[in-house]
Amino acid sequence: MSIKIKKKGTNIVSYLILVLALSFVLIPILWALITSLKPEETILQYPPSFLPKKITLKNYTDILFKTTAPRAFLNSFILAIGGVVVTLFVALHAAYAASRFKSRLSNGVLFFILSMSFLPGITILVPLYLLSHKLGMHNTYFYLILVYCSFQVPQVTWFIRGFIDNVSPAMEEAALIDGCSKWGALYRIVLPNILGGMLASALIVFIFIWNDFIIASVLTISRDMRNVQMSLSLYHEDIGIFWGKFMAFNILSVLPPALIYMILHERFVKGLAVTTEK
Amino acid sequence: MKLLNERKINWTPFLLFLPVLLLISVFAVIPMGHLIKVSLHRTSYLKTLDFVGLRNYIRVLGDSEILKSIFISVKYIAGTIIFAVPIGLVLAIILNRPLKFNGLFRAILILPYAISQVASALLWVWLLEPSYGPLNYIIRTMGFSAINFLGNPQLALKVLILVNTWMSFPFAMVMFLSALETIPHDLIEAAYLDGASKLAAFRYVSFPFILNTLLVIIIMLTLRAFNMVTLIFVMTGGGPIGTTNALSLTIYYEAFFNFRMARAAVLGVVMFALNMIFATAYIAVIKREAIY
Repeated sequence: MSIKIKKKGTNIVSYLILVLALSFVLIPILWALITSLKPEETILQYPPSFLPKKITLKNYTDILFKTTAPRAFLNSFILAIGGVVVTLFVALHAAYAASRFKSRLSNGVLFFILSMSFLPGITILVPLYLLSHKLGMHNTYFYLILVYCSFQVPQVTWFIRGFIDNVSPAMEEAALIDGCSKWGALYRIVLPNILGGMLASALIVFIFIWNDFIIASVLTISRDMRNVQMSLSLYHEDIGIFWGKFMAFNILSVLPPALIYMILHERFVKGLAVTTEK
Repeated sequence: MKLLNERKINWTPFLLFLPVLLLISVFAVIPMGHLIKVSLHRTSYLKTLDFVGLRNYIRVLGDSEILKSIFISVKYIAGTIIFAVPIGLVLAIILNRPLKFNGLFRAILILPYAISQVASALLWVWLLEPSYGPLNYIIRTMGFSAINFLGNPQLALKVLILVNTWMSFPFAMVMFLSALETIPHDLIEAAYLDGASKLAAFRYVSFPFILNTLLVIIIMLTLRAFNMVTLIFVMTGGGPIGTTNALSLTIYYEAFFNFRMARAAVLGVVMFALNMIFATAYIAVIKREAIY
C-alpha cells in the first residue's frame, strides 16, 4: 500500500517537472505563433492580448506573396537538396570502404575523416572565404554546396558506416560469386538494405543546411543569394519591424526541420552523437 | 590469382575513399594550412603581405580585449553545461519510465534542437521585448519596472545562456535516454533486492552505464557553445558594451566586418587548438566505448 502511494507521489512530481519543461520549450514558440496570427494593428496594443479575438492568416499570405521570402526559401531548397545529394554520394562510398576493407590503414583514414568534423566552423571559414575569392566562386551555389558537404561528410560517413556494418557480408559474397563486381554489390546489395540510414542521413544534412546562417552569410554577398536564415535575420532591415509578419516568417522557416524532428525524433538523434553545429 | 587479389585489395578502397579525401583536402586541410600561413604574415584587406613570424600571436594574445572575450566564452560554456546537462538527465530519467503521453512529451521536448539559431534568437528577442513583450507585461503588472534584458550588461550573457540551454538540453536528454535504455532492468532490480536506495542504485548501477554518454554530452555541448556565433550575433551582436563578445564572435567581426585577416587567423588557430583538445578527448571516449 505504502509503495503504491509513494509511486503515485513520484508520478505527480514527474508530471510536474514535465509540465514545467514543456512550458519552457513551448512558451516562446506559442507566443510567436499567437503574434503571427494577429492583425498587425493589434500587436503593439497594451496590454498584449494572449488569446487574440481576431485571427488572420494575412501575415502568412503577405510573407509568401508580397516579400522576397519565397526566393530565400527557393535558395535554401536548392542548397539543401544539392548538399544532400553530394554528401550522400561521397559519404556512402567512404563508409563502404571503411566497413568492408577493414585494415589499419582504412581505420586510420576513417578516424582522420572523423577528426575533420572537429574543425571549428568559424575558424575554417576565414580561409574558405579567401579561397572563394581566389577561385572566383564567391557568391555561387556550387561553392557553397561543396563547403556544406565538406562540413557534413565526416559525421555522415561515420553514421552510414554503422548501418553498413549491420548488413551481413554473406549476401554480398553470394552476389560476388554470381559475377557481380564489388561496386555492383555496393549499389545492388548494400544500398537497398540501408535506405533507412540513408534517409536519416539525408534529413540530418538537410536540416544542417536549412538552419545554416553563418556559412551562407560569409560566402554569399548578393540579396538574391540569401537563404532563409539570412533573409530572416535581415528581414527588419528590408521591410521594417512588423512583428506579425516577422513571426509568420519565423514560423514558416521552422516548419520543415520541426516536422522532421517531431516525426522521427530520437530514432535518428542518436546518430547525431557526432554532429557538431558549425 | 594472387596478383589479381592484391590489386583488388589495394585499389578499391582507395577509389572509394578518394572523393572524401579530395573534398577534405580542398575544403579543410589546405584552408587550415593557409590559415596558419596567414597568421604568420602581415595582411591588408584580403592580401597577404610580408612574413612577420609570431609577432601577430604576441600582439593578439597580449590584448586584454581578447583575454576578456575568452573569459566570456568560458562563462557562456560553463553556464550552458551547468543547466542543460542536469535538465537533460532529469527529463531522461522521467521519460525512461512508461508514462502516459511519453511519446508526445519526447516529440515536443526535442523541438528546440530542431530550430535554427536565427529563429531561436528571434523567438526569444520577441518574448523578452522591453515594451511589448509578454514577459515584461507580467513584470510590470507585478509592480516592477520593465527590464531591458538584452540591453543590460549584467543580464545579456545570462539571457544568452538561458536561450542556449533551451536549444541544448534536448540533445542531452535524447543522448541520456538512449544510454538509459541500454541498462538491463534486472540489474537495477537486483540492487533494490539487496537493499540499495534509489540514489545508491543510480550511483552504482545506472551511472557507470551513462558515464561515457555524460562525457560525450559535455564535450559536444562545450564545442557547440564555444564555436557558436549566430545566436549571439543575432541576439546581442556582442553588446551591450562588449559583455557578450565571445571569442567566436570576435573572429567573425575581425574577419568579415573589419577585414583584419591576420588577427582573425591568429584567433582561428588558437580556437582550432582548443577544439582539438576536446576532439582528442571525444575520440578517446569513443574508443573506450568500443573496448567495453
